[in-house]
Amino acid sequence: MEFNILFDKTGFPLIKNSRWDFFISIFPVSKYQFELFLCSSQGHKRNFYSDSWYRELLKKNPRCAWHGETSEPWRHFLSGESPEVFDDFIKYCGNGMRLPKIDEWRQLLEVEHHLNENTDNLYTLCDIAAPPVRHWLRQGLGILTNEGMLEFVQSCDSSGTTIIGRPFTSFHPNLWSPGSEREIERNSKLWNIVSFRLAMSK
Amino acid sequence: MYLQTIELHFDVSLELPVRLLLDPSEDSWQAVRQKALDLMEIMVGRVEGLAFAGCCEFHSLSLPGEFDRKIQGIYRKVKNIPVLIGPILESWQKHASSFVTVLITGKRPIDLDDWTGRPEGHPAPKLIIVNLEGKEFQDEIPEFLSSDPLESILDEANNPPVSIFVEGDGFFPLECKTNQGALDLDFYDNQMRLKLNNWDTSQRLSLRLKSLGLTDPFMVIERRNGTSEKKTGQEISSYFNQPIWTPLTDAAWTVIQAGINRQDFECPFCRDYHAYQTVFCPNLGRFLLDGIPSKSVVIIDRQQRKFLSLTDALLAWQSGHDRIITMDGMMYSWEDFGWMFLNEITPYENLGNDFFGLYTEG
Repeated sequence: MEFNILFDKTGFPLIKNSRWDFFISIFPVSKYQFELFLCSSQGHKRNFYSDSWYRELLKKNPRCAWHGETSEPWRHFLSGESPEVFDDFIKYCGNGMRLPKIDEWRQLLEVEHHLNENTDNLYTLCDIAAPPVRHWLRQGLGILTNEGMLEFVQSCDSSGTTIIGRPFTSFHPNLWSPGSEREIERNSKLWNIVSFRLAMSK
Repeated sequence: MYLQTIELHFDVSLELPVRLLLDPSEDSWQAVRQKALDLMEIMVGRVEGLAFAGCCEFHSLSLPGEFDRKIQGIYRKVKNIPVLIGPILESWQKHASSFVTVLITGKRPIDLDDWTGRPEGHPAPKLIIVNLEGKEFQDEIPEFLSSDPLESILDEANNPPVSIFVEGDGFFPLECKTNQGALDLDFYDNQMRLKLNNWDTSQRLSLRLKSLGLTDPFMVIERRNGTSEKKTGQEISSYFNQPIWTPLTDAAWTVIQAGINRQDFECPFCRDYHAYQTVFCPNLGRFLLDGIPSKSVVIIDRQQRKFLSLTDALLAWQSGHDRIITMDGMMYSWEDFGWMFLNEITPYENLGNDFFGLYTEG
């Protein structure tokens, strides 16, 4: 199975299978990436992303050093906010980036096993990536569709967003089917690990 | 590739420049601003610019009073943005050479953990944190935290050079002029280095150099904390004049002629006969090479009856294409693998083309 790779504005990789007409990122969006946005002029535009706002958000899913060993890998990824906030980040990334469509996400899920068996290839291709990328691949933190974060994706008819994925079992023991849509209450603990990833058509 | 003659000027500050990273939080802004002003007062000319935590934009400070004029305007745009240091430090690491970052903050930076215990291949820059408020992270990161007062911050920001030298591929220094320190040649592993000793860190170093090499040489500054920087020089041309050859006096010529011919000679001063290598009259206690500096390496041009003295500025003389005689009387030749030490010059060493070398012990 052949894959093409490209890197978003923050130095994180998106891949494309030869049968796909889209690129999709191999990790949910990380706090490392979101913080690059927060430090950019786009992040300052609305006077919305203040220090107190971000510290409050981090209470839902506390941050950890990107190079740290953690038994709570969800702490690397941005989560617990609304699609509007994620949308600002996606706009910052530019270049036609968007939320993945639900079937694109499911296609990534289908190849996760293959990709995880070939992380050496991915590792080699990511030599120009941002520092956390190779570190996380070495730790076996790739793809994360079969078990990882819950993620916003575009719904079937692209009219809105829906949530998909299977939470880390160490966060929430479960036997969920990762490709099924979920309704998550905003005030539930699971909302704290609702994240998203990037995609772009090609 | 062939050895080329290269003339370069190195003009470098031996003190590391300082960059300020300021906490944009409104509740600590007055204290942060005042501390930045105090620091700039004691680090005159060393603070090259600043940024706010949470904003990648760098503001250079090259003119006196610029901080005061600029700072409020910049601050208004970034007030209360998240106190993040990672994106700024990473961008500085990518685009600037060595510097010290002083973070003045009233809050624990959100991403501080990213900068402690870094994995191999991702070194942290030199970071001094001036924590203005509370004990929130006072004991957590001893490697970064500065114990105020200002003098101790200044001390931590100082990372003086422990070694300064110039080296390069095929490098061999010929002539050099520096505004400070003393120069020394250091030969190891078929390579030549030009070392600077006894420098004054508070002064800029200006070093003009004429050398041989396959590529441009570079200056290496190794610092106390184990870091080192490579500095490149600016090309200059025709700074160094042709070496000055001085006519030999009749008395000196008599002694030198005998020396070259390996013949005893009648001393022009005591009229006794001396062995050919004698340069110091044993009867009168007088230096025989009239007009030539004693205790130096000189090159004799027999055809022109002139001599050239290798001094502190003229480090070495090139005889032919690939043979060099240094001011300390050592001969080297250029080989495929680098420079090779040949021998210490003997009295009236024949250097070819009617040139002879001599160390004038006296």
